[in-house]
Amino acid sequence: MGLICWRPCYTESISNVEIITKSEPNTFIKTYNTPVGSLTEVFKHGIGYGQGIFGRDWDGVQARKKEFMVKEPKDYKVLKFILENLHYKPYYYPIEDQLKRLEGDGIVLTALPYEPLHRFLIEYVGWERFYTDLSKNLEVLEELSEILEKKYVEELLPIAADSPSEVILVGANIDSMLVNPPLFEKYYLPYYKKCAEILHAKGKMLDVHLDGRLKALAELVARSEVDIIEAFTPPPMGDLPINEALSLWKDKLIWINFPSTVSTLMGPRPQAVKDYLLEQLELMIPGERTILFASTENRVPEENIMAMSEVMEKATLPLSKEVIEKIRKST
Amino acid sequence: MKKEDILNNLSSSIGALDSDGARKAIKEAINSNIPPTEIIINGISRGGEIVGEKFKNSEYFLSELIIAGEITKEALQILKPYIEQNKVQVRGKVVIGTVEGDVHDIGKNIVIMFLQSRGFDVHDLGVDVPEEDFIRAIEKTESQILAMSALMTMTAPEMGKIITRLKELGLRDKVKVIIGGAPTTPEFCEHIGADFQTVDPIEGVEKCLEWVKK
Repeated sequence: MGLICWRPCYTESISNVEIITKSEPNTFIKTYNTPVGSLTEVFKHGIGYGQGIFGRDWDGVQARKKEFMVKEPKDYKVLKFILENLHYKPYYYPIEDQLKRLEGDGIVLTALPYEPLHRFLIEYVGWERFYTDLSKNLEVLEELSEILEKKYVEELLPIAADSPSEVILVGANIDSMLVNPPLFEKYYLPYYKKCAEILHAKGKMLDVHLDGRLKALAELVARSEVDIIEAFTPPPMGDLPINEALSLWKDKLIWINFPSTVSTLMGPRPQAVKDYLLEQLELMIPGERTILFASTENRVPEENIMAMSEVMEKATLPLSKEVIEKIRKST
Repeated sequence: MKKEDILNNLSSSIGALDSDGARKAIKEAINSNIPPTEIIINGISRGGEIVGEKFKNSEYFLSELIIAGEITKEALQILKPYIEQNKVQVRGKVVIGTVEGDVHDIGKNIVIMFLQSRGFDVHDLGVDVPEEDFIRAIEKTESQILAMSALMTMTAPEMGKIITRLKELGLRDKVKVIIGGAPTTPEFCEHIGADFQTVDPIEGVEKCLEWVKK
């Protein structure tokens, strides 16, 4: 067992743009004034915001975007100016510091922004307008996505490749509902290929946070240059069982996300957590190429975390039916 | 052109995500004096069924559902003056919202699109909806169905609190409760006392139809 820590490797800045922030109760408003126009984005905090840690509220909830920067097609012109003026600089201290603290008891990951097109979907445009614009304003989306990709490939990815982190997370929150197979194939796979060329050359592993329903994307994921499938979520939240994923993605490491539906939603129920975990371990036999990850944030009941630890401490490799049966009897 | 052909054109255009075709077909349906109820049930609603079928078969994904929703919205907009003139009977009333603390609306909005295309009167409370707003809306609209959505494990328990409040107020037997969103499961549905759980919008709408038919 070990710890997984996320630390940044870069800073992002925007030149020639005045950024004005305004706070209201439970709301945070950010305005970008550029020579070609202004854009505003609005975030809404959860109850108890600032009373937790890492910008989250005590419940573990982050601020959510209420209004996106792009509200109508003319906003793309302003966004284009902002993207053209994005700059990245190395910032390795957080990784170096955490590596020292870990003393080998885990890994330090560094995370880059969402994939270029995905950043429009999640951060700049929002899903409703994004899909409408995919059919009505595709050229603009493609043009801006290319600007962003060029920035990443020329500035950001080389910074990540030179960082002290072994694992570079280059994208996140992929779900086949949000990103359908044609979209994934056309816009995401080529980006992963470019990432892999830069990162593999420096001995880094390419990690993507594929935490959604992946059945429809499974074949495409198999073809990708991605090394680590991060936060792979098995049923009941995901739609692809671990054994199928392992047999499809033979050259990849699968980092399995313990579904919060099992670990958190129903409160303390250690026996159910153990039973579920043992079922999953059976699907992982012999246990190679897998990492089991359980989040401790968002108020996961301690009893459930203890139940997971109890099982995992005994889950020696290679996993076999006998090993699992032994754990079942002893816990 | 025969009535059936016009309505078939409408449903197949929606199913094929052909907005021009759908617009043309609905105008033709109006000009041919086809009653709005028939246009909705045998044209728009059937188009929604085709989209739903393709979604089930993984031929369509979210982007296609959005386009289908846009076409349906436009078709209903064109039909609106005729609906008002002809007093179209709605299939049922639904109060829907994303629970407090959660601002995710993708799943909820897709369900709304399909409910509307199937003839439901939908009262959308939006996202981050406090418990009392759900209760007030049910009382005010006298809806038969309460639909709640949550994407986060931390916010899903709000659904249980709302059901408890419905019981306290003696309203639980008056509404069917359907829940949805990634963290929800049939087990959780049973645990909080909801009537149905799904992460599939089409299945959810089918269940609502089943309820109002009874």
